[in-house]
Amino acid sequence: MPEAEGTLERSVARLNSLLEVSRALAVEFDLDPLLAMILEKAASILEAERSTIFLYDPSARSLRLHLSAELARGSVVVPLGVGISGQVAQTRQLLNIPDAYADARFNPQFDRETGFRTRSILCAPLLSHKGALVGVIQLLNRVGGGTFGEDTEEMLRAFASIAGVAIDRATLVEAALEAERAEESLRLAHDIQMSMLPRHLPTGPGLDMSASLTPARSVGGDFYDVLKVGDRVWFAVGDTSGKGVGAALFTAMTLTLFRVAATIARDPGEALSRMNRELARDNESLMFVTVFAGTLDLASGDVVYANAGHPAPYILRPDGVTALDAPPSPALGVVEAIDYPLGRMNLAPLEGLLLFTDGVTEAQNPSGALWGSEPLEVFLRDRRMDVCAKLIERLVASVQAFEAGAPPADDLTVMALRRGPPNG
Amino acid sequence: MAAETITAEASAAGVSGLAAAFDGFSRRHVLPARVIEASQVALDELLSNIVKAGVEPGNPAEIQVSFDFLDPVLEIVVSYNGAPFDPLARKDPDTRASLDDRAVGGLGIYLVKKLMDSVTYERVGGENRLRMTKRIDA
Amino acid sequence: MSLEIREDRRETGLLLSPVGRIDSNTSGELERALLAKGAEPRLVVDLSDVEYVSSAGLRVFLMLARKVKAADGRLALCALPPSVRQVFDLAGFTALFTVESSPDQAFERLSS
Repeated sequence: MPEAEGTLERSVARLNSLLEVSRALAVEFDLDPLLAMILEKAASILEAERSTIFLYDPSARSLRLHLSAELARGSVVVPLGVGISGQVAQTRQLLNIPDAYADARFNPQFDRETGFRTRSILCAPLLSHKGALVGVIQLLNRVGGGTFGEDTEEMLRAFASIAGVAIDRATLVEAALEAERAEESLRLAHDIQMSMLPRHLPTGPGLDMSASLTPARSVGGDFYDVLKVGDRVWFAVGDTSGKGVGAALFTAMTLTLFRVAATIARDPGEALSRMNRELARDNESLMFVTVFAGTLDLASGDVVYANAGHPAPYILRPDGVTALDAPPSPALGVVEAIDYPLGRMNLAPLEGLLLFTDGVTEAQNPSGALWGSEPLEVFLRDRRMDVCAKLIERLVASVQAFEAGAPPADDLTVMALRRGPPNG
Repeated sequence: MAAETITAEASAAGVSGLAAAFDGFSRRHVLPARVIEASQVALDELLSNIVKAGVEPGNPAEIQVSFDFLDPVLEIVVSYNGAPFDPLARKDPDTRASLDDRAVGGLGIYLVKKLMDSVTYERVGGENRLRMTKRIDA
Repeated sequence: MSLEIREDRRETGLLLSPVGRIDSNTSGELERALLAKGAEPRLVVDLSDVEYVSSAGLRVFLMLARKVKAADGRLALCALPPSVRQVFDLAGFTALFTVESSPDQAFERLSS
């Protein structure tokens, strides 16, 4: 039989303790000290022998013991619906159990393990501001042997509401910090990506060249490179699978390997084979990179090229546009020891190449439709004799017009090169 | 509702049962041959990967596959229990396997990514889940 | 599970025709059979009776290509069914091999 509650003194004491806890909520931002204080106050003012707080783990759909004077954090895990606390968690309704062992829902397992004898239980859910379950607060054994009364239920609800707010707030702060860290790592990946690009492209009367990389927000791993080795210009465009800092670092490694390979390999096929050997070896992370690489002999216009899984470039001629015959071999990093076949062609004066990554052909508009290769070909036929820088600028503008404000799903990379007019 | 779900043991026999189930599903929905062929290979690669690497030794786990076709997108979801294992991100962690065997994981996953429009992994409620999609009109 | 591999010794070279599925179960067998012939100067593999090729199968073909090259021989694949061709194309493997539509055309190409 519940003891008579509600002498004025007791009421005042209870309200004071609530006030204290509310004040603490306002100034204490560390979750655990706050919860410990709530537990301690609740147990003492509501006259319970023991008090515990469980936090809800949604991915495991169970309650984990978070705070208790007697048991270690995490030492008790209760699935949703099991026992009194599991019931309260599932229904999000307070339960007042006057006699635990007389209640079919009570689970005596922990009593057996700890040697404690549960008599009365008062258990309330902890809810977020949206009403979602974040945990459970439990009082055990009314001091003096009685049961918890209705007044006590009200008080526990009040403590529970404060604890709920505290947990909620801590989760929001954690999420904000996480977002900040993610933002930070995006910036880092972006910086890595941009710092690796060549600062100047070799241009002059014999060669017009331009390139542009418009990164997507989460850094899609595109890159391009150009270097002059002897009387040949090595050029490459590529796309690393994956996003973020990991992909940016893989890209950095690829570029470094390319630069080394360009100085020692006979041709782009050998260069890609060497790069692939390094990238595929011990490739724990299953990343791969598509690359189209070629060399242009400035004097003869001979182009030698190799293609590791990349979309084939277009040939831009005064009389039209055609796709280069460059069937893709496997991307780099997939299988070790691949011999990349070579392709050969010649660029007469005023003829050029347009290289790109799939960020162009797979650009999406707000309805999710892809731009595709046809609009690209139509554009190129129209603009094929533009000065390289202008051509690229207009191409990027066309893609972005199609995207119509939809956030780019991938990096947009284009490179154009054209042999100068015949000597004279 | 065009969704179908099949559960099987994570073994070679179980996997061929799942492949047969996909055969039936794709015929019922009259999917184009190249979509069926591509999805069969992708599904087989993933299932083989899971059976080889994602299951605790001595504990034949379960694999559940669900197929759904919402014109024009085919969706295949593969769920399996056991320790967290993302075949898309990490090679076969079994260091006892020969280098060649381990490397197969790389080519297999590359193939899956090329055959399907999208493939993603997530860990949900103590389970591993792979989701693949392919449009029939691409 | 066993994989049948038919052999046809011609004037122009050796023709091998695997029958069935080439997946992780059968690729070992294919490997043994093909690599044993790696020293052939002209080798053609007819894939018309192959209903399925997985990554394990692709790797065996790659190993065969390396072996043949090391022995200064020549290798061609032919008659790839559409499903097999799709896998080869997407994996970028078609570019790595000499691929023809029939055994006759394949042998002709290897002799040229």
